[in-house]
Amino acid sequence: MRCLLSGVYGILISGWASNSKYAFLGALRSAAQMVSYEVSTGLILISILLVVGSLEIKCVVDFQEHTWLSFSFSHLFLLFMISALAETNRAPFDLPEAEGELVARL
Amino acid sequence: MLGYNVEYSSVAFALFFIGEYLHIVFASTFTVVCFFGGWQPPTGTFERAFLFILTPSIVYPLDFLIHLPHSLETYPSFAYVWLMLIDFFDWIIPLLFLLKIMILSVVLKISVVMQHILMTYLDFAHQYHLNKRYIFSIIGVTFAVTNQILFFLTPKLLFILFHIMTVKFCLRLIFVFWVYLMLLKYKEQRMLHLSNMNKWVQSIILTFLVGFTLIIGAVLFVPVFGRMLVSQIVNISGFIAASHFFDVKTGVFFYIQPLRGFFYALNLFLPYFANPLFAYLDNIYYTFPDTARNFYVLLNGIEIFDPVTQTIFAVHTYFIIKVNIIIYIFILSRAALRRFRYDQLMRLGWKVFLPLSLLFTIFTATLVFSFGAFPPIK
Repeated sequence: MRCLLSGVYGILISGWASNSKYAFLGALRSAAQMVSYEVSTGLILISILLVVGSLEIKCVVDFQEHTWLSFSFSHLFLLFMISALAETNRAPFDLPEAEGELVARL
Repeated sequence: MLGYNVEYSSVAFALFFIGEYLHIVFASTFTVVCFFGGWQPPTGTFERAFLFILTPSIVYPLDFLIHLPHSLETYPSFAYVWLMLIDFFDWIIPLLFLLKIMILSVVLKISVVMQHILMTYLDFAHQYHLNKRYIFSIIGVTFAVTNQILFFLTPKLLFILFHIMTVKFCLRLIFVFWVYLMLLKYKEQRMLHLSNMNKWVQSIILTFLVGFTLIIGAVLFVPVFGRMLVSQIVNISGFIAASHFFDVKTGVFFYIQPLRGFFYALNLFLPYFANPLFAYLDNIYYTFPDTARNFYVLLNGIEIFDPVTQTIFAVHTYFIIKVNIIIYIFILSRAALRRFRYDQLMRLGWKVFLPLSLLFTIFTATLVFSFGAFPPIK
């Protein structure tokens, strides 16, 4: 059962930890953003793990020996990429550090 | 512009950036594991790998030529002139497409000939028992060493260029090696002789390549790069655009930061035996006790058994290259896409993404359940 350790929980816990750090520093906005997109990423991951049937990373990779999951579950991949972009508080979603707009109107 | 001096005024802001870059690296590794087959090489699809190497270098300049008039529409003083010119020279554009196809076909024919020459060369190498893992390790070490040397020696502006060059070089090496492996496989099965390569198989591959390159060049690379370029032009010309960059220099600075973060993380946060620099030490795992090996496998799970030499060896190269590609996507999205408003963002998150992902989970769960492949409860 050590495979549970190497699975998704590390990622989820780390995401939660970074959330708390941002919240601790007072960037409540970005924290809300990250939480709201964390939900969708978590659901996508759950669906992928349902398909694979295991939490171990090695199993997830061995499952994609013949076809990558980005081909067979391209809709999930698209959703995951966009929500990951939003989670990182970067580029089109980088409202907390958008200087011009913060000064101007928002 | 206003925030630029404030952002980099104190060291405490560096924490935000480090957290961001770590998050990017983390997210990209996770996407690679979940969607791109992790550390496995792209099995049976060397055409695809070949395509991903060739398309940016061939198709993008041609597409840029084709779409140049439309991108220059946005430049204010040229706008009317260019619109008139487009109306006048509209018949050129299909000719340019034809030219593109012709150039592509010539290049691909040359590449097929080069493949043939390479195969004969590699057959010669096989007689002297050149081992797989040495080639793997050579690729990994060249990638890591060249990157890290260039990272410390070159200025920022050149670093991205050299990084791209090294990535291209390593991909080319991998391609050569992949051809070599295919050849070995076919020789073992006695399906293929070098003297009479199947001509029609070559032609099929060629047609697929041309089709795919055209489709991907049209669909993917033009909107991304073209819009990037257009945003640069718009910013320079003084339009109010919602894109981020106001200066090419700072744009380059923003481009390379996550890559730098990636290499820092590689050097600082991974233990020494997980560093790709140590990939060539094959027998290192036999000297460690069992717990250390388990820790290694837990950390990045890269452990491949070579049936030829009956040994376990490590491959990091594919994983690193895939992660790099995903990081590039993250970086390019900064330049290519525009910013959302906050209420739009929240609406997208809660009203579009959450229901969609819920729906997809239910859908996949029902699929898995109906096929009776539900994971067993341990």
